[in-house]
Amino acid sequence: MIPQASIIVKNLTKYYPINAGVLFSKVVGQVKAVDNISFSIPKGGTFGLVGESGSGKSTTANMILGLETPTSGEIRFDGEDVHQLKGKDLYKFRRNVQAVFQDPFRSLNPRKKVSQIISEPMIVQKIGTRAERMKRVTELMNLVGLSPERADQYPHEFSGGQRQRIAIARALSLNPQTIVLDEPVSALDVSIQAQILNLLIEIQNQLNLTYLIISHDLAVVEHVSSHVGVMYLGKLVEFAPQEQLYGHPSHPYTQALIASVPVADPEILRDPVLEGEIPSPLNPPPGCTFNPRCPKCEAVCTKLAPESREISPGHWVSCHLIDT
Amino acid sequence: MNVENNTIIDVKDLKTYFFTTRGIVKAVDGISFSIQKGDIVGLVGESGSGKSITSLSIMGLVPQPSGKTIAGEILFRNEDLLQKSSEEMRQIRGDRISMIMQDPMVALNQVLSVEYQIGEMFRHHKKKNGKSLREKCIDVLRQVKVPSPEARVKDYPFQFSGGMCQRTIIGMGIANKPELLIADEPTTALDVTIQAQILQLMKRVQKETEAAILLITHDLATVAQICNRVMVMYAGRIIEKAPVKTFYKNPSHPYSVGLINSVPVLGRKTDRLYAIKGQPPNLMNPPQGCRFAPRCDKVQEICLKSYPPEITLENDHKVSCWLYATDKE
Repeated sequence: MIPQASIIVKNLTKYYPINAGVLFSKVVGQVKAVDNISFSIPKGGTFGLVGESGSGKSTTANMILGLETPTSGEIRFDGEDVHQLKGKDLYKFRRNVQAVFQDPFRSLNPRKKVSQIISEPMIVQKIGTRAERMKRVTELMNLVGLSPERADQYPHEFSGGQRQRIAIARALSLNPQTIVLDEPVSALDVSIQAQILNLLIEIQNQLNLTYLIISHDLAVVEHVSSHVGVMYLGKLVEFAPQEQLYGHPSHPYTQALIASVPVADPEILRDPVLEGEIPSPLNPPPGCTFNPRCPKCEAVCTKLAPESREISPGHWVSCHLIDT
Repeated sequence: MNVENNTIIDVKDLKTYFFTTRGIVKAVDGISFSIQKGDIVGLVGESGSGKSITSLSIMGLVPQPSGKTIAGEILFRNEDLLQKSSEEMRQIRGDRISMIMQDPMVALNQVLSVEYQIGEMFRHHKKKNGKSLREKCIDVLRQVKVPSPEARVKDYPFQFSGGMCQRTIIGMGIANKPELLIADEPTTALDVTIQAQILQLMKRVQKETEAAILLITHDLATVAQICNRVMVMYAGRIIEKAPVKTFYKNPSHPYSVGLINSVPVLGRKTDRLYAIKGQPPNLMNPPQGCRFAPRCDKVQEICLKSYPPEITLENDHKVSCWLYATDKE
């Protein structure tokens, strides 16, 4: 067992085949959704993953949840490789990793009562008697700030923020060590977002949870994360502790992302820093995949894909133009 | 030119209600504002605050039969839009007033070509200027900077990226050089690098076409970046109106202050975010008095009893809050 790191991801890769021909029987190419990424999350830490849509954030999360099988590479929880687990061990492992998804209007079954939704993971895992489960539902509802009297109501009777609280309670029902949060606040209003972010941080401190949070909102990620990774077209272009990444962004893409965030101050007007759009993963550019949009692109960038290098302790960057 | 002529639209005491089997939802409940030529006005609010229903009321597109604008006036160039027949409104929509919808992937029909859909704007309003329909469509795409418009005009929306779809929709919105352009969350569905591009495009388009823009959004940063005036809506009413610089320097309504403080700001990490407690009220049965009172930190007795009047602070800065009233009855 490794005490510091709860999750270690090594050379993780996911390729999807592109099929064509009669009955789509031939594989004509591959989409490199996640391409050789490595990172680790310390116990009790929060790893924020940012990037534009199509950069592979959700695929990475799904592999960590065990919902997708990696093409290659490994994901280790407390030293155990998740995708080598089978049968009973896999079934037990699932208790440790739970998820909260983006849209609480779609992630909750509208035909089930809140108490059924929150207790369902316990039923699946055959934990406790009915009475014990109900006691746990009450506990969890209190924990996430919902009144337990509402346990017999249905999701449509709750507002968006309250539904996200239900989803969080469900994720906590099995006492997991790790929770994957896939855009947990982007479907919520700003005044409610702050409530949910505060709740997530409180619960984490109370239960010593490890979070993997995916978000396109750099300010949200800065607020909650201890470590941050930036993905572009399936690659992890930069990975560093939070203060380091926001204080000294090194990859041109990270710099551009941070500079693109609009500021709520009419005195600071921003011009777009990046031209163009994320290229199609069906046909990525040669060399560094960011080169067509990079303001600092040089000849080497269009030929050779950069290796990930550690430029200061814990700060990894994939870019040719940075001196170590 | 006198002041009167610069007013594009003047909304007076507009009320749009929804009559449902469970009761009357007062989605927009007595709002007044005006937009001048050259303005980019931001209408900010959370979901359910009535900002989208305000724009649909102006467009005459309130969902029927449950929704109805029951009172007020919408004076567009001194003509009341609420008195127009549906045929007259059809001539105005897409020509003198047009609208940009939120989700570019949904707003375009996936099985019709981009050319056909942009062309609809010209076909319906029968504008002729000697150019063929295709040339006009290419001009539109060029204006909104879709790359290689000559080739892409024949494409279908699914062949476009999200950013290009949104550019196309903005192009359709400005095709007939409208006097008023309503943009409902135009950048919400887009990635941040694309967002910045689209905002820049809207600023440029505004300069070129001189259209007034009503920008509806929940994002205060977007407003700060492109608007010159801002209005904050809460539970069906406008609670604060101000020039944009005044507003960000001196937000006055407790809700506006809460809204600004509850957004995490890049580079300013705090241990705990300020959060406005509670939730927006049910509009079927809004609280008596100020609608924000149950959530307000600075609530006074009078706030629970009667709705505050609109108080002018300075420079066109108006706020509906008892905190600023000198004469409390």
